[in-house]
Amino acid sequence: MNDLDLRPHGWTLWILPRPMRHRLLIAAAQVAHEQPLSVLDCGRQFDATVVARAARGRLEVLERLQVQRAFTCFEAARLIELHASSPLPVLVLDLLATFQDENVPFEQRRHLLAGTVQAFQALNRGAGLAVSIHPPPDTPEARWMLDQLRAAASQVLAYETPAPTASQPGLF
Amino acid sequence: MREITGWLLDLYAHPERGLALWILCDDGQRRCVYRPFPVTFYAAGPSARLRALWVYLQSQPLRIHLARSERRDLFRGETVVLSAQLDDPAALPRLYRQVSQAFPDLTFYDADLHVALRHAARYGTYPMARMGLSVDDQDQVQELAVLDSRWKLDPEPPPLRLLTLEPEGDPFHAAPRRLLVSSKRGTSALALEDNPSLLAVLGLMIKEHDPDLLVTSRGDTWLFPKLLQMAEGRALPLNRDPDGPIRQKEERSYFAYNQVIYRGRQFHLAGRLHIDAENTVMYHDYGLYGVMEMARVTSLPIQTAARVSPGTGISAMQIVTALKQGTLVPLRKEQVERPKNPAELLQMDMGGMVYDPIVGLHRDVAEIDFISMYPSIMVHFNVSPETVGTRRPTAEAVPELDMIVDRTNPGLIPQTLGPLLEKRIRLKHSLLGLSKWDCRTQGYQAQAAAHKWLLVTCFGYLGYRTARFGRIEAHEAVTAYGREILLRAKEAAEDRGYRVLHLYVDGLWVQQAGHSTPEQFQPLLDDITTRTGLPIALDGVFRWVAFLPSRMDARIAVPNRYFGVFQSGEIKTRGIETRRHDTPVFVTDTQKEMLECLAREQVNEAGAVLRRRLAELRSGRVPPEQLIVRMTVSRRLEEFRAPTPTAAALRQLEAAGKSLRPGQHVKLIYTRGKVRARAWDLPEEMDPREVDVERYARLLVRAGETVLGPFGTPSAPGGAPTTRSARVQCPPNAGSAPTLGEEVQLRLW
Repeated sequence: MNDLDLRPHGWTLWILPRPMRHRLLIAAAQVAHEQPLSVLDCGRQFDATVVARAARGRLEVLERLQVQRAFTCFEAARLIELHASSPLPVLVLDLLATFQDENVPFEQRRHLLAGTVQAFQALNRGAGLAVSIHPPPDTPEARWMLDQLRAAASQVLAYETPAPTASQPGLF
Repeated sequence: MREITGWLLDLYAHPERGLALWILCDDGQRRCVYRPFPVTFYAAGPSARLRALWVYLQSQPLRIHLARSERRDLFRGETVVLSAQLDDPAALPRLYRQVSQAFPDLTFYDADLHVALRHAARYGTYPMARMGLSVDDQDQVQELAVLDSRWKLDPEPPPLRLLTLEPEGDPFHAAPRRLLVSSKRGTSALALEDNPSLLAVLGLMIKEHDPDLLVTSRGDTWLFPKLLQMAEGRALPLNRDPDGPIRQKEERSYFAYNQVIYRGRQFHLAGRLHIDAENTVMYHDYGLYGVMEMARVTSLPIQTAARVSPGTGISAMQIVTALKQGTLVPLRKEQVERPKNPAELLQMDMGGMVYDPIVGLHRDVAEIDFISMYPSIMVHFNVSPETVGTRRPTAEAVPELDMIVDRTNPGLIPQTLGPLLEKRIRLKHSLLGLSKWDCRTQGYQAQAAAHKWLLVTCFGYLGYRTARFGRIEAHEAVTAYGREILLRAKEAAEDRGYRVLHLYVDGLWVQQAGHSTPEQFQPLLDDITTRTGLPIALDGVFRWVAFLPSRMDARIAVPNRYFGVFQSGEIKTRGIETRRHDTPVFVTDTQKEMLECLAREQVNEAGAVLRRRLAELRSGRVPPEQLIVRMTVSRRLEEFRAPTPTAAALRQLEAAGKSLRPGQHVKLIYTRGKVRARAWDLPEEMDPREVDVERYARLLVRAGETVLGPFGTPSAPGGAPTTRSARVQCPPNAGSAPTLGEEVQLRLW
């Protein structure tokens, strides 16, 4: 996987299979070696131990990362709205996780996602933005949400599930 | 004008008369009285949008009084809102649905609250409250006073008339033939095939008994739908209120606390209560007493309190507190977490303190627990969403964390929990002084169980995603205090010469040579209370307790997985097969029987039980019913990828026209062959030769090993004789029975 491309004017949508989620965290730690980064975790994806390992124990790298978690689509939408004028580049993890909560009427989720996409356009003019999602389930609602994000993103990177790697059998 | 005294049975919005209140009167009458009850909701947002909402509400064909006002939002402080007051409380749910769709960008408050909670906040009522009322000739309430308190331990019991309806057998397994109707006069069996006479007789029985409470088995999910279908629109006197509809709620599955939960369809009656024992949350744990207590302390109607989770109960209590204070009740929390770097996140997200146990068998061990530790912390340290992180000069630092808590102004959560916690402590103390034959014991135990679940949940609700008054930082502050307090308790124990065997969130297991009576541990309890400020109690002194290792690696200890025998002879188990819901009854019963032998310190007899039960299994003498495995359906059938036994059983049921939703339970039997499992609820009889005896034998031997392992036992499911020595740890001067406290070798096979 390439490093996160966090540049102003153009945001990237990453469609990542779940097994690849740690690679995005490692990429975030790589970015933090150079510059501060805001991470908005909308799907309980941020594993601090993975990031700490990737930072090779350098505290100053960890301190350049600012993490906030959202547990509902309302919180996710609010969090992203609050970052619309962020001076830092922003990485949004697993954006659609909370938007698939069937306890919230679809109308409301649609409204919130529309507001979120608008906030992305504002963020796009800032220090840089990358948004990750996992491939959503094959439902009309999920397809609609994916289409909205695909249409709004400047660049879409879709990854396939990696094939299991062959392992060397042990001798003993 | 008439004066009435009695108990409040039910309360709901009436389409014409405001509110209907059903009273169990002291003269034996059941009366419905009414009162006007205007309700208000609020909206906040940009002025232009509020003006648009004003215009929208004015155009509605309802009497709505609109005003601009300022109200207190728990997090934002004084907030400008549009207030809309409706004279008709029954119209609010529909109106709110409309406005929330038309104005999804506005923030609504007090819009989706149960009318019983509003009434509770305004008048102090709760289900089964003793009340005095003045009523006019139109049955309109002129005055109302609550005559007792929900915090009383022994409220005057209401004279409830009860009727139970129960189909003979599980309808999901096979169509029942008879309906059993029981009252205090006896039980009648009504044929289910004969529709007209069933409906006529049942109708007569309900009219004659006029029950206040219908307790059914599968009333929500099978019986009521069937009866209503049979009646085909004809009146069936299930409701006491002829004008009131039977309120239905559809079934649903949802994800909470890392599991899928299923709630069946519900039927709520008007003027009479309906509880489906199979569609409740805790009824099987604490019975009717517990349901009543849940309703009393939460103010939720009894039919609702029986069916909702303790989390909803806690939420209801918080709503009542907020309404009483004039604080706005949001639909959900919208506060976002403050930014943290990964190092902070690791530190704040640590959860409860655990010291792994010292694996093996130990004698004379005291288990001491903080009484409702997390709720006590919330009350003692004033942890609440609005008190954490406030920049007041009186704020204090939370241990370990870069966070402060204001301890001077009581927060909403401590105010809510304080009386409940105090009642629970009074109950626990009262129970200590009662014998198990005392007529109050059962009721107190049920009440204590209801409180326990409310208090357990209240901590989770601080961080729960859908909680109205939650905040992740408050949740983290509670665990930080918890870790500090447990460490102080450990230090107190070690300073007094105790050996600490295990720490688990709010409990300690300690041991000291020569200490074996509760009195000997009292100074330690006092010391811990002094050092921490929180109440702690002795759960009991174990004659012996065994802490178990991991199955994968015997060198690794597993927290909270143990079994032991208190000095009273009572057996306590945690984390072993008897505690698991998916263990077949046959295995559970065998393990329990073995534990009873071990409680008598008869290790060889325990081994003999295992051998006997294994022989019964292999010779086909175990009824298939005892081999049923009960699995929770975690996803829809089409979402299963691996051919698991659950997927196989669901597929078989689907083919037989029976489907189950996520969160429901599927019963299955392990079978030989490719499919490996057979659904228990298939229409055709099962051939006992299909049973995968060896798989059950493995389960049985594993359960046997769990309890015999600490005593030094073999592990050979295949039948080969083996022996293994156990790590047995006892203080050198502890008196030990011949079969305990020394290495034992047994030969089972």
